[in-house]
Amino acid sequence: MVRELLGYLARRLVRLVLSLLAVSVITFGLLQLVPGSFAQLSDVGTTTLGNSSGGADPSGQEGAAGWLEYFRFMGGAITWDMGPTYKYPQSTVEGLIGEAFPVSLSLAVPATLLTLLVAIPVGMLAAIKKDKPADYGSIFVLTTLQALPGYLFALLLMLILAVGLGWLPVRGWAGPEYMIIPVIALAVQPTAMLARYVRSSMLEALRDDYVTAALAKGGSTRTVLIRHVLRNSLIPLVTVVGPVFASLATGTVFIEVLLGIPGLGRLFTLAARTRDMPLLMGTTLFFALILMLVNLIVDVVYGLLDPRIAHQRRLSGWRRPARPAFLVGSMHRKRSDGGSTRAGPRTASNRPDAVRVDSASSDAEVSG
Amino acid sequence: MTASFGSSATLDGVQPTAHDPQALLSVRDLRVSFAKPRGGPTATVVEGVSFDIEPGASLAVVGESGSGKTVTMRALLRLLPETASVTGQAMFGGQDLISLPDKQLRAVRGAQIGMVFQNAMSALNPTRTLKVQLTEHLRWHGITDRAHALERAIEALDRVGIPEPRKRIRMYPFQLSGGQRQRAMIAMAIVARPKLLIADEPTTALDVTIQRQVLDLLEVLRGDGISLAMITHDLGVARYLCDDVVVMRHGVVVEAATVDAFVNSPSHPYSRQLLRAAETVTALDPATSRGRTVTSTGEAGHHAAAPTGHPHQADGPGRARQEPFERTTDLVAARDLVKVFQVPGGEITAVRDVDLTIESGETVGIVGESGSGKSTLARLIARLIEPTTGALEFDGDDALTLSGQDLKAWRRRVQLVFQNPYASLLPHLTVASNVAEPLKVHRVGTPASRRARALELLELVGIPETRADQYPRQFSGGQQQRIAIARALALEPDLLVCDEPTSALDVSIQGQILDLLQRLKAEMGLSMLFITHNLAVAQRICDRIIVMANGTIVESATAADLFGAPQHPYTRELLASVLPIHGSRAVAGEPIGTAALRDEPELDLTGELVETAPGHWVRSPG
Amino acid sequence: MNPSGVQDRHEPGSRTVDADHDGPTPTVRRLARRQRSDAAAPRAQSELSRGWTRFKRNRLAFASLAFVVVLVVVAAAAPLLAPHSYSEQDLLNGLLPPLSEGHLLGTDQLGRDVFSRLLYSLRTALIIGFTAELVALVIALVIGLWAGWLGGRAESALMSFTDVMYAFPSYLFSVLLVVVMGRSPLSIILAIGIAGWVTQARLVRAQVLKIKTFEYIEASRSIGTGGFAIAVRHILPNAAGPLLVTTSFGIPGAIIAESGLALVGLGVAPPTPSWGGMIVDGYTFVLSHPYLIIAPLVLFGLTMLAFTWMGDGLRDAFDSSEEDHA
Repeated sequence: MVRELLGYLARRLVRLVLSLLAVSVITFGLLQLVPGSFAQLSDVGTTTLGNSSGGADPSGQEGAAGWLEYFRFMGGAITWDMGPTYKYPQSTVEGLIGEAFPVSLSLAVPATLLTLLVAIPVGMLAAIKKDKPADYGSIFVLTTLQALPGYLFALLLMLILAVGLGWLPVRGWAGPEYMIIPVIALAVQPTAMLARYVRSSMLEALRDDYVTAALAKGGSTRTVLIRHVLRNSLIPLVTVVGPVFASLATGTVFIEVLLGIPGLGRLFTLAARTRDMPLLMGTTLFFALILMLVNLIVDVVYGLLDPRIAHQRRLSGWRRPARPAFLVGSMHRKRSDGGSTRAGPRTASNRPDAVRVDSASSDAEVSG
Repeated sequence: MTASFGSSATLDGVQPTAHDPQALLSVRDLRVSFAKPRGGPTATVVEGVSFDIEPGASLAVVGESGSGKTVTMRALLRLLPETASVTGQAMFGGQDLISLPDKQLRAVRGAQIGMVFQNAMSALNPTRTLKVQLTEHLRWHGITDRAHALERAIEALDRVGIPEPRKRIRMYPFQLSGGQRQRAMIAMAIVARPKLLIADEPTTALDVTIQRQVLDLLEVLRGDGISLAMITHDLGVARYLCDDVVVMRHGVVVEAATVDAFVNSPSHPYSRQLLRAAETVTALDPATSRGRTVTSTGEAGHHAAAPTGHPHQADGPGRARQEPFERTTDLVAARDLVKVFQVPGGEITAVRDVDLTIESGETVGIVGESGSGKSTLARLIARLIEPTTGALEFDGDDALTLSGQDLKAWRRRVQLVFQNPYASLLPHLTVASNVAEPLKVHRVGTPASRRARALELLELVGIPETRADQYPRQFSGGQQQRIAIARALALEPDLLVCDEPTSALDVSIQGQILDLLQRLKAEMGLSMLFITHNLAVAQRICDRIIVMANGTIVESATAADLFGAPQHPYTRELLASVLPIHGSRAVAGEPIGTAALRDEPELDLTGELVETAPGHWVRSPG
Repeated sequence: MNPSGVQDRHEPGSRTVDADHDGPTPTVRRLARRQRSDAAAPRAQSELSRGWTRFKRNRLAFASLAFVVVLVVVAAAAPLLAPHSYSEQDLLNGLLPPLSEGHLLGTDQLGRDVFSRLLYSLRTALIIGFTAELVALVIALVIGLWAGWLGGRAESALMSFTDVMYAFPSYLFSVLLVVVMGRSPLSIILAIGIAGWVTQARLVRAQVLKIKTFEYIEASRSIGTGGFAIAVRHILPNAAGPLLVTTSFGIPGAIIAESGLALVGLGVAPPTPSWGGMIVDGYTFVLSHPYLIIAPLVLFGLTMLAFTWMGDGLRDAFDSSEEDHA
């Protein structure tokens, strides 16, 4: 078991490194297309975006020089030394990331906790009260909250709590009171998404025969809910909470920009606006690393929590489980998946009870 | 007699009789209706059911899908969704289960009435060990403490014949084999030693040989003094295990009697119809020949088309064939077919060294349990999947090298009918378009002529023109299968491959579909490859039968030879596991003791196929 | 995630399930459903018209659809409806409050009519929302169908690629693309569309994989229908419901993406009005002239809600496949 797990981890880490390389190549290749190549920009300094409509014209020579730059940068990145930025020659890329990441993290941790604290009870309540006013009401509110982007809540909270009532500072980053608006604004959408997920996940569990079986054994509704339903429906939650945390920890660009919080998102935006190529490369790679690490942790933890997955991974050499599509924290999170409630990890490839050999052969079935 | 019955629907206006004071469970005038969410109209599913179960008795609640039998039994323990409203009385141990306060009802559930479900895979929580699931309710009911609960659970696992119970109790459900899982679930239901066990189709999801084990286990438990209420659609199962039977239809009890009385002289027309259907599709014909004419089950006028007109009928059922694999008149000749599937963690040989011939006009049956490779074989013959190795000839020509337009042209000659009729019809097309689809694909005729042909074909299978423009989902399962058959016939194929065409249907519908297939086969001179797990169906429809297990042929003979003189032990086991409806119970053999359940012997299929009689091939012991 | 051809075991019969999938057990639900379907008069009705009937019953969703239609009409007619040009400056009459003469919602710091700018920004948002989603959908359809239907190497290549793309949060990718392509409306549309296709391609692929396991596809192959014809004539129509839902959520997603880009200074270049831009402008004056930010926020919020409620209604009506996002 331990050896298998280590082997799995090793394979996943290799994949992670390859993916990071791919991300770096894609990012760098894209940035190469920008008018004025990577290498040239060091002496251009800040450029405004207004006049950037001209096409890319890197000659072959500059292209070659650019890729040399790439290898130099990546060589440095491996040792956490990405060199100075263009915009702030006196600071290094890793230094700026090192300053910004704790800020984003200090918002992400309380926001994730808040999300869990609210979403699980609300989702459970809605599931238990299915088709009753409490359910309809909470679904309506959750859908509404999920429809609106987080920065809209940041603005609303700011207008009400800071501008209107004057209870909180409008923007900036100078103490715990500056955290309240961003943490709430960050938590709203994940909370709505997660609550709907918990609800549908519980409803799915409630429909299973083993719930009826447990009730038929004489369990009270509450006992059965806790011992069987909640447990089974919270295991897949791991696959959702991890990425939510990851996307919060890498900073939410819009809220950070609006509220003047010096986090990773704002750093990235700054790099993009000033076309600070090393900083752009550095932040992008850092984002990718965080997301991939969290995904890896989620997969391992999920496998440990659900005996079926562990069992199936043992059969299949710990292949990566299928993941619900909405685990990409982003502004596109809503598309079809955010609400698509029944996603969840019970997908084709990790239902051990449904392993089946070739769609065509109903007979050749692997028994669990 | 151990039971007395009443039903408000059949005994119109008669008040249900008073409760039987002797009965363990006495149900009177049970009614269940479901409210639609968002304030729609209510649907009444059970309308006034009454029956009694005496201590130590076993009752079968029999009916087809939609008869309300499951809802009735779940209503007794109030395990229905909140949208259900239940009225009536169910006296159990001096208490009325329907009006009992929740807390007292919970004391009955699990402790005094155990419940067994159809599918153990879903009825056992996949993320908890057997230990948790077998012991938790012992503590809920305060029957034992934690330490003793474990011992009781191990004892129960042992009682249901699970080997090494001490080790297996720490396992998760998915780590057990199918049969073990089913027995573990039964252990969960009996560990608290209830007085009554309600079993909801406990063997329907199982292969016939395992079904027999589970039924025998239930019989053993009855010996321990547990009464049994069993929901089943299978009259053979009811006959095998139960004393009394209640027949339900559309939420109403149409007949209640002892099993013997029911089988020998059913009083209600529906009971007679059900019995007739069951006799033809679930029970073996004791005469062991298929010479008898088809018993029609509701399709009047089809008698004339029954297989009397069969082109090979003159040869007689015992027609001997000398060299089954070297005849040149064979429509299909497959040699040494092998199909290996790659799966995570290895590969699986689904079909191994299978030789098969189908003569023109012949119906060849392939019989086997799940995992035997029979469906894979069907798809290999139809070239829906490619064999790993082997040869396939069709009408003397190599069918494996065909590709492109040649393959497309060849497909006209081989058509399929699938197990699940709804899934096999294109849901976004009307049924007329579905039937015309093959013609369209092969560019036969004009849109108008194709539609005319489709209507003709629908008419042929009994779907009126007025419904031709409806969509597949608007038809019942039996009708959908008729439409699928019409589609398969549109291109006038030479070979019809039927993959379990009746197993998703109710028994009374199964008979009709079989009649239809036989009639069409005779009229159109088709050859047929018929895949089934149901020996009775195979016996009824096939000229020659091939028994498969683990991807290879176990025995191959004419229907008469196979049923008259089965030779391989596995074939005999299969035959023995078919539960007869008539005759004494001893026909099915003595119950297997729990000791025998413990070992699941491996089937030895390493030997060669040997011809023991003309045309009768049997795999010799390895 | 099924490269070796191992498929989920589907019970396609259960596809007949109505939208309400409530009961505690499949058996009971099946029984209850049977009762209902027996009562229903058999009238020819396609999946599409059945879904539409169900959709109309959902009043909130239907009202949202009506609202979206109104928005589209208003956006199309913006040049006719707007009292002023969106770029017409009147520095003497800057920062007029709402209900000023000739300026229903007042003017901004440059004296431009807020109401007119709001109408034009709606136009910008809808154009970008619809076209960016179209770009994403087309890419997703081609690649998702291709990977799902052909399987094998094409599929593993796609899955490896989407795995890599998953490491880019899509806003990050669109920001990079805007940095590369500039701030013209076309490049913003492309940036949002290209960043958004991955999720949808996976969804298409999941749908294809699921539909592929149904026997009707096997039946189509057995009658000799070619692979391309099956993909286009049989798989696509049966995946239409989920795709419709995806699209209806993709459009507001793209609008949010656009406003987000504007928020960080990478949206459509001025003077073309956009909600993001108006919010940023209004933000500057939030303490003194909050109405500048409230007007775009309200319209923006209402638009998002309408699309979302409509999408929810569409899902309930058309997408019976609530599971499976492999």
